Amino acid sequence: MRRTRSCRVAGLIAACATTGAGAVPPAKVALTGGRIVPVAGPEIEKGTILIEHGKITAVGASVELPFDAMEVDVSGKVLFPGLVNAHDWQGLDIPNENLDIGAALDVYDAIDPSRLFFENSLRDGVTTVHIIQANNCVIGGISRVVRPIGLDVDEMTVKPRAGVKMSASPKGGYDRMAQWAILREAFAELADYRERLAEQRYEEEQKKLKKDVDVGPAEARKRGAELIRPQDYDDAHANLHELSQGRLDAWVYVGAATDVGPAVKFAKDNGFFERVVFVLGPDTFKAADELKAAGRPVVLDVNLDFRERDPLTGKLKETFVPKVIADAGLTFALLPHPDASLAERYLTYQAARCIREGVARETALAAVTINPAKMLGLGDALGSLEVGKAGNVVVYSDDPLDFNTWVEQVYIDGILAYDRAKDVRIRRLMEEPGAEEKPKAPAGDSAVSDPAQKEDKPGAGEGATDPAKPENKEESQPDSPAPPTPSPEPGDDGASVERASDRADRAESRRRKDNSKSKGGPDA
Amino acid sequence: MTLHCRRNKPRRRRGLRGLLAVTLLAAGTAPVAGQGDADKALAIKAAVVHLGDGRTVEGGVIVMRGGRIAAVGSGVEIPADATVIDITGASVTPGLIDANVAVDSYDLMPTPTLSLGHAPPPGVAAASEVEIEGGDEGGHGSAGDHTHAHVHSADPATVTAGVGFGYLSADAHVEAGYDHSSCLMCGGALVHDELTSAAGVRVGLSQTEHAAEVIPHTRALDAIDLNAPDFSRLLSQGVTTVYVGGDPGAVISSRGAILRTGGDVASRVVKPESAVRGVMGSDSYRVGAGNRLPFRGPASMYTRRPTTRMGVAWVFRKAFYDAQRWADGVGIHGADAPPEEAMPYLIGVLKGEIPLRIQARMQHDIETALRLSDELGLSFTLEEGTQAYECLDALKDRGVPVVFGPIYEQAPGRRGWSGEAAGARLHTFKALLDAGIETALSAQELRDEDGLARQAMYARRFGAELDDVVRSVTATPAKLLGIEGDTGTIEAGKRADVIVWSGAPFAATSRPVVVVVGGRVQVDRRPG
Repeated sequence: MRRTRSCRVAGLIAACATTGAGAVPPAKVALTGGRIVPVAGPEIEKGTILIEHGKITAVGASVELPFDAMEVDVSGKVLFPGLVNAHDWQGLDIPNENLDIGAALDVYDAIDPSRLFFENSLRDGVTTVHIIQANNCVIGGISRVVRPIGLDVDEMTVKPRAGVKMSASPKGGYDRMAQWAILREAFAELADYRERLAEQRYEEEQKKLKKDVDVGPAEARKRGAELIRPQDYDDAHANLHELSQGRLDAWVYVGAATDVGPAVKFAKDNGFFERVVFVLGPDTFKAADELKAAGRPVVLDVNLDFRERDPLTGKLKETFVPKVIADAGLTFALLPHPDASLAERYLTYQAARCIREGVARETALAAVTINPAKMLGLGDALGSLEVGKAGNVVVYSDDPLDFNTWVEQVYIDGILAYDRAKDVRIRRLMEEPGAEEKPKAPAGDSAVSDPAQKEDKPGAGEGATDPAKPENKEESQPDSPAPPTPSPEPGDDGASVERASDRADRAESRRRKDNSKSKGGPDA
Repeated sequence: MTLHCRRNKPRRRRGLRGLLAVTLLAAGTAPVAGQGDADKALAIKAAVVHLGDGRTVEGGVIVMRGGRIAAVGSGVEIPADATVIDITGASVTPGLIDANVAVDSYDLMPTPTLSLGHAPPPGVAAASEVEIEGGDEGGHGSAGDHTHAHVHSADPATVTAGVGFGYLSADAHVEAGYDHSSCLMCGGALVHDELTSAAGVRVGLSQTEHAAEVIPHTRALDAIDLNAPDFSRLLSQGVTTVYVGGDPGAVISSRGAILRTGGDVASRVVKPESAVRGVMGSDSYRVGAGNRLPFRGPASMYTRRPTTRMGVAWVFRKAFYDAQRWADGVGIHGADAPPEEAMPYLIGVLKGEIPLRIQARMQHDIETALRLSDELGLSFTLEEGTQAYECLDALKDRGVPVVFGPIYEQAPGRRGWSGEAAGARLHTFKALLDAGIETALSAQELRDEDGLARQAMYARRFGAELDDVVRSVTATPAKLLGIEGDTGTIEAGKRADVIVWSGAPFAATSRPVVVVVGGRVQVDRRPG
């Protein structure tokens, strides 16, 4: 954790650099003057959020600031809790392993911090991601809740061992009979294993006491049952055992309405019903009544519109799923679409669609913030702007559900993790000078021109790792060597970023001139 | 279908080619058939009326009668007999016009179900038609005509095949009811419509015309099923008029058609033969079955030129020089000579009687188009124009209008893997507007949830002003299509094609609630 702390230090230095407040990293950040949409509780028209040591310590219209708090003026902006992505495999190298029972696995080993996914998450205002295997499985591995910043998984981790992935719908190549046979067998085998383990433990204990095993196997198993210690379980069974004892969450994919009943029964039979979250397929909403009776939270499919053709009449019917789910009174979370070419990749857009289809605004907002936080068991720590929660704040240019709104800044645990003014990639995509709206703060230019910042290189010597620069490994381009997200490293890095990109810009504009000169072409 | 065939035949007379003349005739002689209540007035009250030409009216009233707009303004009196549509906070725009749409005649459109890693839905429809309440039942294709396109797999295991790596769509295949396991092109791994979706009539391999590389004598209209569910989908997204170009599998492709998406099928064809489409870049030799190089032998019936951009430019250039020779009565030689039946149309393009459009994405393809047009004295409309931001001055100097789009953050489908979208920039549309280039916005084959409205939404996000965006999907495309006298703006005398939005147009939280085509409510999403 020491390492994480030094990251925070580095991050705060960067925060200073952007506001020019100086080199010493304040442990206290105050975002003042913005409209606050806390999700929990009423909106505050013009208020302040104070983050101290990574946690929110005050939210309100008038907050008395400590003398050493770094004040960031966000007048005219909207402050919103960091979005929570309830269920995504994209931080992994591949979505599913080729195993039926993968409960011994942990996504810890497969999360790749350099994935563009994390950078995009940050850019889209997502501060918490539940990395979990995809739905094409029988029993998958252990999932993990991470922040999209950090160079390695430990640094990113918010909550390890978030849950076990399972699917009540057939994995590719299986039908439902096979799927359920394997699922049942996994837990039957767990029971067998426990018996054997109990017998073995009894024998071990007897041996330790230098006594003979004087009872039959059945009795030995009974007596050995309480002798089993957690560490006695092997990897293959430990997590399933935890699950069956209700000590681990289960995220169960129910890909079709028909799978809901069996999934509920299975969860009840095997002791994890109280800890199950159902991950719905596109038409699972048809079992809204069953889901309502179960009363467990649900994660909706990425496609919110379900289209179905009547097999007899050929008539096509379109159902907006969140409306059905919201009307049933279920607690639900929305997911961003994995296809980055779609606007549905923005969680805020998914929520906006709910509103235009008649879902209440509070419900839609909760579905991308507090609901997923609660599902992950982090309802006390994330998902709204309340005192005591993590300092995960997104600074939007306007209402988060307006599609014209941009994420201006993202604070994660009080660290300035993203700053659009320094987002080299966005700037490059919107590069025509004068054609785009001007970056709010010409941070790059000031970073270059401010000699004081060139002098100060705090943190450079202490080996501070850079929590928001994980993406550069695979994505670096020859003409934009800068990290795609603004580096929270001290000013000198920012300066070099800008210089490089300025160079690229100059080259680009030169090239454009040449091109327009030679538009006739030599061969015309 | 017989209906519109009959209607279209007389139009083949050359004399009527003047764009406006034909259009007005078509509009004037195309009553909204079967309209018993045509004389009954329809009135819409809205908080904001976007007229389409960049102006807005606050608290406006629109009165429509007989399929036409009778009056619009803030103090317009509502006739006593009028049906009134009054939705709180609503805004109104003209019906949207997509000047470069690719129609999905076979209903191949997958739902945006391309869940990477999320197991695809069991038995999800790949359909693109929506149920439209209160609409004109007679005018809409009954989806029953298209049952072939939908075999719903009840077994998700079938659908899930290959999901581990999650490339679009084994599921889209199954859903579309095609047996792609035996498909030579994709071997069950690629999507047909991906191959042909770049522009034009998106119909799968069988309707990419392989007869020749120069086929302006063919008509896109003949490949279009006016009952295709895609038209209903377009309509439900607020698109009331479309231009469908020839498919981009040929260097000089078919002539496009201007169509309405709603109303009686008989009245849907606004203009059966519009512009000729030229195709720069790789589409002409990659779309469809693709052209083949001679392999270990001479060119034969199995080989086909061009296979490079040089070849594309050559075929394009030669076609027009040959047409000139043909007109001059001089003999034509060479393997790439256009078919004789294409000649009158090429001459028509040379004379400026038939409009020309050229699809080009990359900067050098746009520049090739400009070189060729300079050389041959052609004027054209640029289609797609992904990298047009690199050619602003050149386009401006020549007065080349652009039907730009789609806008995307990451190139979907074919554009992505063809590499032609690599230079896409988010500000391009705004840059075109800022440069004073006449620019319409198009979604082409992208329907998503919102289609053209989503394109407008993107355009707004990437810096364009609302009024400019409204114009680029209404008045500007109408002008580029030569139908501005009939539609594209809300003003007295124009066709009553109007959308009522639940809030601001092109906002994420609003959508078309009511779509009126020719004075009749065709889509009605009002509750109750």
